[in-house]
Amino acid sequence: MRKVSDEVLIVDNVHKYFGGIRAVDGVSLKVPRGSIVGLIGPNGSGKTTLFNTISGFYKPNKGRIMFDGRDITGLPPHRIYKLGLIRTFQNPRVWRSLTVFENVLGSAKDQRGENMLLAMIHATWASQEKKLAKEALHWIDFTGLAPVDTRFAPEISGGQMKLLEVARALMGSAKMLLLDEPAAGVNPVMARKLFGGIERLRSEMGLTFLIVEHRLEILFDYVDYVYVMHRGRIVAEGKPEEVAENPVVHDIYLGG
Amino acid sequence: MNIISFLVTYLSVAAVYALLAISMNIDYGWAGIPDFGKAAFIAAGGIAAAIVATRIVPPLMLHMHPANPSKLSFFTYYNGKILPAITAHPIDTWIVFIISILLGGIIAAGFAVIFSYPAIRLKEDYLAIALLMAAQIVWLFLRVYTPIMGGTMSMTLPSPSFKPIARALFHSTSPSAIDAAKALFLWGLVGVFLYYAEKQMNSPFGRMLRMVRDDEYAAAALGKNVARARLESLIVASFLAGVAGAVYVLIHFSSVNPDYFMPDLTFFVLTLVLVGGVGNNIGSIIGALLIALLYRASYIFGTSLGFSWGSYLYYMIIGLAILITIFVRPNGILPEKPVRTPAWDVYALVRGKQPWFLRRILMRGRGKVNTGEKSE
Repeated sequence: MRKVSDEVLIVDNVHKYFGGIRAVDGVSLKVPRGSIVGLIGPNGSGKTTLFNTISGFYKPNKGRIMFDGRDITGLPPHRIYKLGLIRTFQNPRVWRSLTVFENVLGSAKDQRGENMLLAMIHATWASQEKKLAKEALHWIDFTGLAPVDTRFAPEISGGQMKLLEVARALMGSAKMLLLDEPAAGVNPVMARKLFGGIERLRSEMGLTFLIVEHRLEILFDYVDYVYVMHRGRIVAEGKPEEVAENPVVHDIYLGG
Repeated sequence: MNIISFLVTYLSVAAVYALLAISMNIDYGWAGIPDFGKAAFIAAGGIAAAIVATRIVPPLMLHMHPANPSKLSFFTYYNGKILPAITAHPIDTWIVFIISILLGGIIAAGFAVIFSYPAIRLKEDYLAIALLMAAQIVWLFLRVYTPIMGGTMSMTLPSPSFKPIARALFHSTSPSAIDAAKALFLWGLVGVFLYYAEKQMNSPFGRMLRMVRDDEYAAAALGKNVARARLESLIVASFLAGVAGAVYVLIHFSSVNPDYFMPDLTFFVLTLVLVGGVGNNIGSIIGALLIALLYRASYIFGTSLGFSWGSYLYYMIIGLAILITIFVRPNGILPEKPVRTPAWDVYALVRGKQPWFLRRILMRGRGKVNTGEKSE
């Protein structure tokens, strides 16, 4: 295996079973560096399970996952985060007792003050904290959360929570983001704005995206490549326009 | 009973409760760990004090044989020889005290690692049951295993002498001056605990614990080692519980008995935090002051009624206090405050305004307050 490959994420024949249920049944996919790849499929097809397996929340029963030339199979989530692979959640998970600003700030990598003993010695982390605060404000401005940045996280709207999740991932210096339904429950205008932002991040910072999304009409305008999952397997793949005309995909979505 | 002596005794008791409450606030309040094993960690302080008084101080400082509480001759030897030898010099009683609080903290931190090990990765309920069981085990073990503190026979401990402090402060060694010196010392200790807790909490570490408490999945996805964060908060809180436990037996009781650490002690301490304010250190102290007052007042009033159930009045009053708190102020008397780090200074500098809640801390959760800046 080459140390640095063009594929930043390689999922190789991954299986995840829950008892007798084969939630992910031999999925292989590749995400090239700097691309936006979509992952679609009906409810219960195993997309979120695959995300949970890639991000370390589940250990796969079989198969390998490579990120940026490293084997990350079975690593715990916080180690995978440190490598630069950061996920968001289908239902936004925010820290409810913290403000939007702190939600973003607290997601930063390698904070010295998180050490139990160093936390007592203010001088060891204060300057880093100030630097990170500036960075956090930058990402808040970028995602357009500035008007609500001193609100407590549960007080903001669902769409803003989606943006907050993206801002947190950016704060964690992500190389690649796994977005689980970023446009679900968001109005079409805001959803388009969100995908526009994703495109900007890809072109300006070279970030890579793997996106699960049900709203194909929006997704297909932005992605380079699409994988279609059904019953734990990849049943179709290709460029969005090819997938849109694939009869297999029509069957799945129209009750096959 | 004269009012001054009631007040002084009450303040000493409340200070000991405040120490326990601050420790409970760290793991239960900040990290959301249902630490139902607090009694075991407090017991560690009692174990330490008993070990120091019987086995460490006699051979090292007094050139006497260590005492074994399981032997029949223990009480004649310990009460007759060792105790008078230690209490003869006030400085020796303080050495016993200082070694006991340090050892108590260390034993309690060790307990925290051992008892939480099986369940630290699991969700709340399992950890709660594991810790509750630990408290039960420690209590029963101390009852039947006599070499530590002599089983259920109360063992007298050399309480630190407040005579020198009273003499220095009040130029008197009357019992009331000594009691006042004791209360002052205990509140000084509460101040140390409070300073430590506030400093530890208003840091990225405190913020991380809140993240783990609010949503552990998000915390894990954004790089926090959830199990480790929980363990660290449990170690910190247990260390303080061990220190508080040594204070509890040496100053509050001047004796040690396994029944001081019955598992229901945990829930008493939890009440202090619930009423005072979960996640707020000052709130915990206020809870301790309030519940100690209710406790003493209802006990004195209840026993003066002349009914057989009079001494149980306390339980009803405390129960009522919990219910009133839950209905009227569900977050406790003083709710949790935001984490304050230098990041907010940067925020104020860049945005040119202070965040609204730094001026409206107490109003949080009490409806929407129009502060001008909160709306866009």
